[in-house]
Amino acid sequence: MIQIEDLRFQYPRTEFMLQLPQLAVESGEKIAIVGPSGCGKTTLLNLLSGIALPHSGTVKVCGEEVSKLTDAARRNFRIAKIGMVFQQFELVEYLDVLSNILLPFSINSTLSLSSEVRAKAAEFAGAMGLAGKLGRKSAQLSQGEQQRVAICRALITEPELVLADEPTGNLDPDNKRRILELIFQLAEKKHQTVMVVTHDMGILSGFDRVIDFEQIRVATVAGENLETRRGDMGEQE
Amino acid sequence: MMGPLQLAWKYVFFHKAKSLILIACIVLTTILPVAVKLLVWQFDQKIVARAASTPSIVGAKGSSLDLVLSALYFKQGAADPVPYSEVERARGDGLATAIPLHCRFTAMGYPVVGTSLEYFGYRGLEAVDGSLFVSLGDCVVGHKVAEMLSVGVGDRLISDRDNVLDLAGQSPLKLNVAGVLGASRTPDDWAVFVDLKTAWVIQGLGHGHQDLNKESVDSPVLMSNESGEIIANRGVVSYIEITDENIDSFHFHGDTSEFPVTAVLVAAHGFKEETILQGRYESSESEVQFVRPEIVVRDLMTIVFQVNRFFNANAILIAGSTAMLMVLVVLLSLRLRKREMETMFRLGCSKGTIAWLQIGEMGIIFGFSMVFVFMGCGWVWMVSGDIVEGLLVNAR
Repeated sequence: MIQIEDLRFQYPRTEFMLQLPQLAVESGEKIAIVGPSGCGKTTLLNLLSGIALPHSGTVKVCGEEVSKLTDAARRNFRIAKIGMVFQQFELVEYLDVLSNILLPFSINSTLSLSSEVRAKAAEFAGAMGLAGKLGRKSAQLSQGEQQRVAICRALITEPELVLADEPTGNLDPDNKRRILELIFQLAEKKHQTVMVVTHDMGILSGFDRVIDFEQIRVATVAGENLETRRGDMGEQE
Repeated sequence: MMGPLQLAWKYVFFHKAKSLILIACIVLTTILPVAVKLLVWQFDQKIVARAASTPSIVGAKGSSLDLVLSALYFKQGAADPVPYSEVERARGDGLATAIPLHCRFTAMGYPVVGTSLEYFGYRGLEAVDGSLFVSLGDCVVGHKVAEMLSVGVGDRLISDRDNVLDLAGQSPLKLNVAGVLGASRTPDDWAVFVDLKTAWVIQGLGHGHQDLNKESVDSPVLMSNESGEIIANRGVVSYIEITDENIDSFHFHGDTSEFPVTAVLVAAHGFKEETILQGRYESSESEVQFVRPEIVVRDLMTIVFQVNRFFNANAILIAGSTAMLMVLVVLLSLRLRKREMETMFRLGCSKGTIAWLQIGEMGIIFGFSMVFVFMGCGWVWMVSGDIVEGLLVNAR
């Protein structure tokens, strides 16, 4: 699903540099990325989705080398293959729940909005406990509900890869657990790969793998190979 | 393209107050100069049409504009009067038809115009109810006067006093409505027409009172009756209404050729006759002038259009300022919505689609504004005739 080799990326006019010698993620895996602020977690998501392009190295997602695609092809790739969930939910305030879920179809001419898609959106919303709130604006929803709408929006295009940037950052502990369960539940149904950036060490128990970016940077500085650990959340905690 | 347009519509609809303010700014900035242009155009059409239908006017020397406004719009007190003999002079040995106009008084707030029956034929006015005035004390009311005062044939109109504080002054005269004129959409609709002699009666130049010859010697109103010279006291009854019974008692003191008229409408029988008449007045040393209303009104309109040019320049500056403010609002709005646009971009929206979204929003705002502008202009177009008519009528 994801193949990264010798990745180097630097934002203009900053000293920050992301270096990632190697990373491989299998289809259907649930990956958590942890690390201190400013270590490049969100940058990695941007590189995977083609929003940012590496200075060197290769980033292959779903068999496509993202940096070699044209702007339009990269956008189409993002629409077709990737679903995104954000920390601040980023719902459009003037749209109701259903329209927010269907937003990718409204803004992309490559996606056609059929009655089946509408039915699927309503079904997703129902599964998320939003069935009676399809006509509400985002301001009329609780934070947990808003994030559930954002998850529906990310999954409505049935992407192969779901990238979530701090999806539980603004939620209470109960909602955190429920939101993650929902993401995993829906992703498992379609065998989707999930990559979640988080600061929250308390939610790592459901992931297949945790990548600690602090260790990556330390390892890179020391010239060692990247090590990732599978199923060792207990040890981390 | 439907997606971005739908989103744009939802954005505009969600931010109703902001959208309405923007629409109001565009509508007001656009409609004000357009409405003024329409009104000026209507004003030009109306005033020039009225002037063009009146070949020439004779009146007292002084402001030719005041004379024209008095004769065409019955403006009271604008021009000094000339003696009635000028009417005869204007007829110029059969060179022209001369119609006297005396516009000094009002009845229930509407101008009372003393004239002759020729005026109605000249202006193409006909009574749609009743008839034109036939005897002293009769009046014919314009279409709007009849409508506003709810008067018809057989009703009475009372002339307004020249000075309400002058208790010893001329009493008001009850006018008998003999007819109602058809609508002409001219100042004639807003006037009360009487025979010139009736106007003079209102002015106090003629009057009627009880017949003192029939009074006995011991009548309380008689002070003396010696050698045919009757002197009465203030107890003598003056009539304030002209009826079949008292009409014969009405009489004028003095030479009617010296009685006042405000202006004389002169319709020469041809261009040659008009030129001869004009020559007579220009070479004359008398205190009257001969004016062509169309020329006077076109001079006035030249000034109006010059003023309008300043207004247009002002409107352009305001429109420019509003446009710059709108650009500022859009730029600030874009800054506020940066995250929303960023999210759309991350969800796969192209920059072109984002631009279409913005264009769609502005397009909807402008579209609605233009609809309101067209509706407003249509309304102004429909009522501009009445507004201009009202302005001209109220100007008196």
